[in-house]
Amino acid sequence: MNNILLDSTISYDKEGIYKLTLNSDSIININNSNIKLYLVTENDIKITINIKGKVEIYNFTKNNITVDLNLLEKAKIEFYQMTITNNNTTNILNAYHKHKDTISNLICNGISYDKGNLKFIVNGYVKKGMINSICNQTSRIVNLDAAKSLIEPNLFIEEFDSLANHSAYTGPFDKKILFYLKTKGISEDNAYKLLLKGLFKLNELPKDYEELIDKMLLEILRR
Amino acid sequence: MFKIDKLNVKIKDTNKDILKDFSLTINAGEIHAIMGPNGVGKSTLSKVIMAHPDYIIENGTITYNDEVLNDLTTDAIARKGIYLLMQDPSIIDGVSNSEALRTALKEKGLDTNLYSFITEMKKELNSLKLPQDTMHRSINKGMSGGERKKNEVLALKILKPSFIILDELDSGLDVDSLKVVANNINDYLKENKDTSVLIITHYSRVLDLIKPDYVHQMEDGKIIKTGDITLAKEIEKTGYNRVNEIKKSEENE
Repeated sequence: MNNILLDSTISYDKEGIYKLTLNSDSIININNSNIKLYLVTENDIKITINIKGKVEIYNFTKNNITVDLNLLEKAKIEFYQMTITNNNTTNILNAYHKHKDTISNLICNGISYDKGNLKFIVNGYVKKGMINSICNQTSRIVNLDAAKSLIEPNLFIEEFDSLANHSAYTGPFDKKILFYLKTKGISEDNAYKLLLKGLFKLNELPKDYEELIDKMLLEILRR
Repeated sequence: MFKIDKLNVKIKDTNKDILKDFSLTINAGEIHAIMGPNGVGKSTLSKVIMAHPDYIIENGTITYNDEVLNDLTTDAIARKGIYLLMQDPSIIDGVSNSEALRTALKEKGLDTNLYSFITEMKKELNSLKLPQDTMHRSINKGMSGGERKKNEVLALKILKPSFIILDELDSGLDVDSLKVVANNINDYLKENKDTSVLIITHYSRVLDLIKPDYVHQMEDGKIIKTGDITLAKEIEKTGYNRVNEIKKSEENE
């Protein structure tokens, strides 16, 4: 993940897998389908992503970020937010359905540890006339130690002919799940390791991206 | 030998007694069934054996091969070779079957060679009529009740326990799936003759497929009657209340 962005605007016109580290406010234009983009965002920044086509975007951060997703013609986005923090951190994600027949699916997973206070504010906007749009969001923050968290899931839907769903969970890992893993002979430490990794590995990730997340998780587990 | 001796258990943070002077001995290779209506403590018993944090052992002992389990953690008990097949197995998004099972094998100090692990998984998945990609899928995610039970039997066959607790095995299983699951367990028992089984059930139908040596009737936190498969049939025919009435009248006589 050493592809540092120098220009504040970048465009992707060909299908493929791209990796990018962002450390300043940026605009990303995605003009094709079948694009997978793996982001690491550093510093407290704002990213605007204009989407025309079917895309998967992964973003890993430890910082405050604001992400504006503009869904233009033929936009179908799966956006995976992954945040690990031990500070006061707010991630604001906005999905703007600016064209009919567009789909947004925002999956936000976070770990708040030590004295962390992680907040996800996830907003979906479907304006009148954006018929057949689907606007979904699933957010989950796991609190470790005395850490805190908050999720604000908001759906601003003006179009009747659309579909919108949200789910949100904050808190520690479910005791039932921990018990289940332990009944297989898995120790508490390893059960936590599996669950923390599992929180971010809902899909297969590129090796270097996975290593970056593993490194962060290891820091949490070693405390 | 698995032995529970005069066990008294309370639900944590309450005064509610859930097991009262409960005793049971299961020798190596034996299959025991515990039957009883809802709320008599059958499923609680399985959780207490596995040191579930919601329950407190007031007195009495649980021993396995002469080792007291009372103060062991859940994972340590499992590593002794005790396997609980839960009534309602958890769904764990993001943790695959293979990751969890390889971690469990590693903790038991068993072979985790990837090639032999995958070969064995493929064999057992075929045997359980589960899709091959199940090994890479999140634990029990997107599975029907029946598939989840099969997935638990898959874990059982990989982890190779020597004492198995089957908690309401037939719940959520259709007739065909129940046969597949029972056949797999019976095959395992044929290959591992010293393995003991404790079946917890409401109904006798599972006992037609996995045949018990002893059947116990449980009521109010303890065993009130012990017999063979005919006790299960009697309960199935007359119901729990009727069996109790007959017992009481026999005692009066």
